[in-house]
Formats: sequence, C-alpha cells, structure tokens
Amino acid sequence: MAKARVDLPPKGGFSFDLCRRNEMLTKKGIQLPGFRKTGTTIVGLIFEDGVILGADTRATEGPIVADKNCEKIHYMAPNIYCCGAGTAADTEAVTDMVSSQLQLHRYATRRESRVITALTLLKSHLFSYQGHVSAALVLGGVDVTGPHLHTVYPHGSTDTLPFATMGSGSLAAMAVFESKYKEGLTNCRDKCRRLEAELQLAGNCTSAAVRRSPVAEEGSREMVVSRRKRREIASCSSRLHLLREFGEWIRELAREDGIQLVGEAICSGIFNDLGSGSNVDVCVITKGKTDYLRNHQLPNPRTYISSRGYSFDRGYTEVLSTKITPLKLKAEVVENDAMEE
Amino acid sequence: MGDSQYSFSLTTFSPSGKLVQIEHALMAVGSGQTSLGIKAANGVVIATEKKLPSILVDEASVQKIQLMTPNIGVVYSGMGPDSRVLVRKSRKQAQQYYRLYKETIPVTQLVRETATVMQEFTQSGGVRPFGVSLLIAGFDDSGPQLYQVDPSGSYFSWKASAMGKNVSNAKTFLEKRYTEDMELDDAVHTALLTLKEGFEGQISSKNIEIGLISTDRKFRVLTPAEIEDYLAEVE
Repeated sequence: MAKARVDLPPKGGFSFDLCRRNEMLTKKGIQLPGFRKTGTTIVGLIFEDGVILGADTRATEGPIVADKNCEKIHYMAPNIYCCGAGTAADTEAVTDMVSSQLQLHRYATRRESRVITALTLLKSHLFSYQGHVSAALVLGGVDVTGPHLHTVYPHGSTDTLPFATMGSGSLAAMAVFESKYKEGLTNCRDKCRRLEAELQLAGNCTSAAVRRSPVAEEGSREMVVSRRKRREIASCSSRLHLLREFGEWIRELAREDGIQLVGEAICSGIFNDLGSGSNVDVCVITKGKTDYLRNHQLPNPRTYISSRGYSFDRGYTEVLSTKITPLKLKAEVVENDAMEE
Repeated sequence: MGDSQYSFSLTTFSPSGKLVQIEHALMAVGSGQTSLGIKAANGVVIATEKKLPSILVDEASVQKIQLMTPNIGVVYSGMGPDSRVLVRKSRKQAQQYYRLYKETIPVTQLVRETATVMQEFTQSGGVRPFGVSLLIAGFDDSGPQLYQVDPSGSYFSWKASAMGKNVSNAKTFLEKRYTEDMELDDAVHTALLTLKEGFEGQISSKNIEIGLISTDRKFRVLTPAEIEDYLAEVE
C-alpha cells in the first residue's frame, strides 16, 4: 500500500517568517545585504515592418558597476524578446520562466507564440507577487497579428505603445523619442503618398501659371519658364517612379532610421543617467527574422595601456628606504674573448 | 495521484512473483498498431502505422509521432490518450531540466524521467499502469540514440526495435536486415519494408507516419510528399 512520494516543487510565494528576525537585526545595527539592481535605459519602438528593442549594458550595485557588459535583452521566443530593468535576478528569472512556458505552449499548439501570450503570462505572475518581484520590462515581438510593443510594470500593469522607455534612464531616452519619433519613422507608404501630394500641387501650380500667362509677348519667356518647370516636374515624377520601384530601399531606410533612433535614445540614457552606461544592444524583430545586434555601439571604449609605454622619471615615487642584498654567485663568470666572426 | 479512498496500489504481486497488471498492460501494447525504430550511424528513424477507425476521420489532424524537445521525438504503441499524458509530462520535465541546469536535456535523462513516471503509476494508490510502450529517438552529444520504455518503467537502448501487433515478425525482419553502419536513408527504407511486411491493406503516405533525426539534431516528422518519395524508392 505504498503511496509514491512524488517530489513536488516547493509551493510558490513568499514566506514572511524571518521578517521579525530581520527587524531585530537591523535594530541592532546589522545591515541587510544589498542586491544587484540594473540602473538601466531600455527602449522599444515599432517601425514599418516590426519592432526594435534597445538596451544599455551596465549593471550596478548601488554606486558600483557590477557588470560592464551585461545582456538586458532576454530571449522569450524566436519572435519575441524582452528588455528588463529593475532587480537583475528578478528580470532573468521571470523571463526564463515565461520563455519556458511559451515553449511548452508551442509544443501543445504547434503554432508560433504570440506577444500577447507572453504579456499575459508575465503580468499575471507579477501581479500575484504584488510588486515584490521588481521587474520592469519592455516586451516586443512580431507574430501573426503583426508587430507589438508592451511595457510591464512590477505591480503587474501593462501599456501598449508605439514607442516606450523604462528604467532610470527612461526620461532621457523618452526625450529623444518624443522629439524624433514621428519624423524618422513614418512608413514608406506615407512617404510615397506625401510625395505624390506634393507633386500634384507643384503640377497644378505650373499648369495654372502656363494657362494664365499671356501668349503673345511673353511667349518666349513663358515657354522657357514652363520648360524649366516641366523638367522639374519630370524629374519629380521620375523620382516617384524610382521610389515606387525601390520600395525596398525606403523600407531599409525606415529600418536604419529606427535602429539609429534607438541607438540615440540609449546613448542619451548612457550619457545623462548615472545608472546606465557602457554599450548599446539592439534587437530588430521582423516577420520571420530576428537580428540580435549585441554591442551594436560601443561609445565607451576602455583606454588601456598606451602602446607607446609610459616613462616615469626618478622621484615620482617617494623612496622610503633602500636595502641592497648582493646575490650569491652560483656560476663563475669567465671572461671570454669577444666573439669572432 | 490516488484518492483518499484508494491509498493502496491496485498493482499487486501474484503468488508467482509477477505484477499481473503490468502483464495486462503489455497485452494492451501488443494489440496496438505496429511501430518501430532503427538507429543508423548518422541518425535515428521511427515509424508507425496510422490506421484510423474510419475513413471519415480527418487524418491530417492526427499526429502519432510527437516532439519532446527539438532533438528528441517519440512514437507509441498502445493507448493513444495514455501516451499524450506521458508526452506532456516529459516535455515539462525537459523544460524544468533546462531551467535548472541551463543545458538541453540529454536523451538518457529524459528517458529516465519518463520511465520513472511510468514506474510511479505501478506503485501509487488508485492508479493503473500506462497502456503504452514508447520508442524515444534522439540525437545529442553522445550521438544518435533509440530507447524503448515499457509500462513497467523499464527501458533499454536498442539498435532497432519494434512493438505492437506485428512485433515478432518485425523484429525477425529487423534482425536480418540491420547492419551497424547503416546510413539514415537506408534505415528509412528498411523501416518502410518492415512496416510493409505486416501491413493489412495497401501501404501509402496517408496511413503511415515517419519521424527522423540526423546530425542536424532537429527532429522532424516527414510530410506525406516525402513519404511518397521514399515509398517510390522502396518499390
């Protein structure tokens, strides 16, 4: 009648048994050990085809830099990545756990994971821990329903945004986004439409000018003007034609614009926020392809020993005392004749 | 596992020292559809009959060969629903292993975990043993591997094995045909021939399933078109 003792994993949640003891210890003057927080700048934005995520690479423990080049962009699924700010252990553990759950879900459903699934798993976990799991995340990815970008706060609330920043450097990064986002990243369809509208306007103006000018005296001049204008319009429409043909080229521009904007925002965080620093990591997620650009920018190179070497004059270092010990001669030095040949 | 009323195991020893329930479970396996596996020098192939209870069943929705991890696949003989439970548990265990050791689970470890689950159900209160035998095929750092796990929880590594209805004929056939240095393609052909041996009716890409894994370490189930190609080669 044996009942198999199956090893159940320990039940989740926090046990607050030791809180009284900790209080007593702090009263006695013993300090609680600190934990590693990531003073961070993490950003995300949606562009034409997908999502771009960016992060700095400094992990701090109070005033000390604990890791100069840590990875803050975590893998969730082949098409979903997540930047994490807050306590490093919390962000790592929570993203690992949800990534695992997503994998199991993929096996069961035999479908690509959706961003909203990752979002719901994260937020329900964080909510159940009532903010004690200090993880602030920027979650982005592309699935069958399109590109998505969300922010998740430690208490479990979420936002869905076209561009987002989190971490101690979020204000610096958001300043960059708010001023530059619309400009750099209108989608190419918009660009084409605007160009067409402008050309229409130019075309109308010119044809109106041609119609209104008197034919007789101004004949030659008008002809010259209109020919020049006509050339302008022709060159414009050929450009539009080129643009239509090279739609890909414009899309590339949007992607490069996006990466550049993200890089700028992170750099703004790196240089203006004390908790962020070192390098820029970028992750570009599009339908079917993900580019993880680790250390995309290295704006803080470490200057090591100069190759020229250093020369220090005597007297730079104060000599306190001198003791000379002659070494015992182990070998006899025989004076040789100078080498011939 | 086990209600309060059934805190005693239903699998008990007979006077001759056998666990009768496990014997019966093996009978259930033996009346299931034939499945087999062959370990080649550069990969493993597993295959099974896919006879559906009626022509009205949507055969595209049925998949007997399942993935446990990207580099480990499994096929069963016996009761389908029981195999689903095992596959689900094994997948979860593979994920837990990864979370704990940050290493993709080796094939032997996964087999051991699965076998442990099957053994627990022969010794727990109120439950019955699983009515399936599993053939687990995987490729990891130790190379290609093929394991068979029985309802009792015992497992062995095989070079080639078969289970289900036609097991004795199939095993004899495999014993004759198997060579140590077989390539994966040859192994697939041999598997098809073995299935053909005891097949009732006409073999086609619609009523068999083949899964294989080679040095790329990605387990995949062949599409009907690919099976057609292999069948044409075998003819």
